[in-house]
Amino acid sequence: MYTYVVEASANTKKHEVELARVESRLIALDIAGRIERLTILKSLRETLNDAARTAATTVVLIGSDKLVNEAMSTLAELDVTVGIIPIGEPTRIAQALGIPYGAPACDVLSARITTALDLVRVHNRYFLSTLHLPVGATVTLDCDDRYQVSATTPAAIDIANFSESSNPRDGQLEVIVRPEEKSGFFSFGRRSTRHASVFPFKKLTIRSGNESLPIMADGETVLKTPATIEVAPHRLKLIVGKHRTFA
Amino acid sequence: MAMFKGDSTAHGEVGTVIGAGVKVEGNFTGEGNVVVDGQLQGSLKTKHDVQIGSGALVKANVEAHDIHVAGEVQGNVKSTGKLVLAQTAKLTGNIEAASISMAEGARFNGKCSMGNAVHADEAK
Repeated sequence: MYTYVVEASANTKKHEVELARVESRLIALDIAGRIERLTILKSLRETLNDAARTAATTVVLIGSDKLVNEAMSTLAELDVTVGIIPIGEPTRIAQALGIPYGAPACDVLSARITTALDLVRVHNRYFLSTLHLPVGATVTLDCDDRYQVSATTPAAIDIANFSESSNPRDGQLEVIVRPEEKSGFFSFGRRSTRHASVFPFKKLTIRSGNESLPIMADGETVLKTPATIEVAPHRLKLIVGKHRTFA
Repeated sequence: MAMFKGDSTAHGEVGTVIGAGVKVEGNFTGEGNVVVDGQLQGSLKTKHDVQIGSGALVKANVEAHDIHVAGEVQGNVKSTGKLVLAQTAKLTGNIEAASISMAEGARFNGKCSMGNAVHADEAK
């Protein structure tokens, strides 16, 4: 049984036509189910838990990356298969999973290629894609309790489950460190990003001295340093497209 | 070996990159190829290949399959494949490798032993 959860921002006049197309396509493919439209008064966590209690085997998130990230912590604890129909912006997670925007995503759901993906776990919260620390004070990274990484200049840091070289099924995450330095004379003081450093890890502790730095997901601060980040291997059953960025 | 083609860093096949501006301290055990352009102190071990760039400073024992050194290494280097010292390499430590190539201008201070040396000692 399918339950569809529609993000509040996708449930607006702007996306009305695309949502109608989605509903028609779901009926045509014979995978229609209960539709839950989120509002300010309707909590995502309760909606997802209710869906699992009412014997939903597949929960489909209709909306942007923000909805996907917000739903992860609850979905990671439920025994359901997760699908995504991207509507709104940004939808980078769906792109990486090979899921097209809007109604064509229904065909991906119908084809039902499921795979178990790793999740990023921080303080009992789960994330699917990337966490970001903006350039700030110099940070120290303890990787797998074996070695310590420090940038000699301020650096931006990404914790990635998906990237050009990492695979969300390999049981490890990547930390990407991008030190910044002042460019040459003609740059007028602008900063440029040098070659990035890349370290695979299973457990990472981020420290930033006495200063507490924000850890962000999709432009919103979700945590602050110090923080320990771990991989939760094969934690989420997800429906993916044929054109996903990983094997 | 695709990793060492030319002077540029072929990051596409690399598992770990210690870039310029980054310092690593501790026992680093890589799962795949490792590129070092920054600083490393401790030990470095991988079953795959290691490339130490011209600006890198490695104060560590290095153990890998193929090893290409263009920077500075202070420590013992053990290669189960080919060890290449480029023109800009400065290596202070002992070398153990199946095959060694050293460019003119490379600096090396230490002892060097190759795979056959073990058999030569046994013959005596």
